[in-house]
Amino acid sequence: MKNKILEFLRQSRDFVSGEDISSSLGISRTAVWKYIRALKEEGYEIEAVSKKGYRLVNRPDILTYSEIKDYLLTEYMGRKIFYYNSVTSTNIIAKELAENGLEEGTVIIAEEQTLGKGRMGRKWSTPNGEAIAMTIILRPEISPFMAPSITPILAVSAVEALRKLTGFDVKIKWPNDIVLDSKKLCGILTEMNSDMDMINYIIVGMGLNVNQENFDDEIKEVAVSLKSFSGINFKRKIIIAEILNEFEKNYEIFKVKGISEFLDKLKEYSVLLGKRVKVISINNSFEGEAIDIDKDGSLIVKKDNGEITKVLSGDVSVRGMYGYI
Amino acid sequence: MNLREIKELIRIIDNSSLTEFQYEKDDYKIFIKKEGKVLKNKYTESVEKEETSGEALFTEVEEPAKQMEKEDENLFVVVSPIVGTFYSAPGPEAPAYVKIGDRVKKGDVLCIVEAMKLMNEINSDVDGEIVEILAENQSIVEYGQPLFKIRKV
Repeated sequence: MKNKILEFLRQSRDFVSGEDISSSLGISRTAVWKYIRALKEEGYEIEAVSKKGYRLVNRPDILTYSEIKDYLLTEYMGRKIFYYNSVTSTNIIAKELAENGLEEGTVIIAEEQTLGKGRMGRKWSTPNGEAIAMTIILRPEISPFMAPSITPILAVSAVEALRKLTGFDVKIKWPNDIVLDSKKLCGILTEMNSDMDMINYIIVGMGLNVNQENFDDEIKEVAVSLKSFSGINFKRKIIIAEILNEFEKNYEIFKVKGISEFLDKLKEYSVLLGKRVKVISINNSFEGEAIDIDKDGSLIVKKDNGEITKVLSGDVSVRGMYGYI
Repeated sequence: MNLREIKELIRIIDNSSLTEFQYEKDDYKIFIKKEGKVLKNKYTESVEKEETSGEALFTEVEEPAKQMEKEDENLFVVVSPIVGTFYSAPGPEAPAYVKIGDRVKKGDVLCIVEAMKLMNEINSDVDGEIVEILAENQSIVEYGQPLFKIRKV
């Protein structure tokens, strides 16, 4: 009902009387007043003038389906959105929802994550109202061994969306970060639940820094937001919608043609290729030059001793990036 | 699946301790079985076949297969669905998902295999007891590599 009243106000653009609302929606004037109050608490600025009624003055940058849908061009991505004020992590919630059978394309968004997940339990902080923390549920009918490519597919989609909306030179740091100005703008974490030959579900989560003014001393050398880079405020709902638009398109192509369709883009957007890198994997680390992205999406590094090796796992550092000098 | 992928599959299964492998998707089925040194592989795309359906071919191969399952019929081998790093615990500080002797139920998480930051939770396909853990924590595992042996209950 609250959303119906919101729609009513949005469509009229001018004052609507409480009586009109109550008779159109078949609820009491008191109920209308209560819902208006609830909307105000969510951040909607609604002007109330006696004898004229209510008028929507300003919509907050909140990330409900009502706010995002105007910018969505998708068939199923983001057509169901769960929006929370504060959660442990959107990935944790998404997993629970996926276990309960929520359909492909369902998106979980939160204003704040208290236990934001990075790789292997590292924390990722998402402050209230300034960043995007969202997770998408997927159920592709592909072999599990193709699934690791979902991360680069989302990375390509996010880069294209962000370039389109901001014009900034955002790039991919293989395999799951998006960087701007040699600092981390966005991280992607994908989790899958599968049998040997069938995927039950994949959840792909992203944390994207948007309107943070600045960062704490301990991370300001490594973290960046669209605002800290440019001084400009960005509407998060438009960014989310555009990422989902790009992602649905690319995901459909990927399911049919595989990651090979995206190799050119992955190379073009890569911040690693041609650079000296340090690969830190579990049992060994080495330095060399990142020379290519392999046809399965893995990174190819030429070690200093001339040996060419394929990197599928582990962390890759680049000189001059994330404070690694 | 193309010929190259099938060859790769055979190679992986040949090198693993698997004795049987079955894969079904859309209009094709693959059934591979090892009997000592003998390796059989039947593959069909039923769309292209006019008279022989994939179904029929599949049954043909399955029959001799059944006779082979005597010794290990209660032992179930969990294999890795992707190439990646094997993690026995959800985090560096956290306790292992399972250890030898643990009872597990179908659907319980046994481990994570990670590739390109995709964390793949591997579930048990059966109810049973963990009798062997075949991969070392944080080691690289291949596609189809056996990870756990579970005795079905």
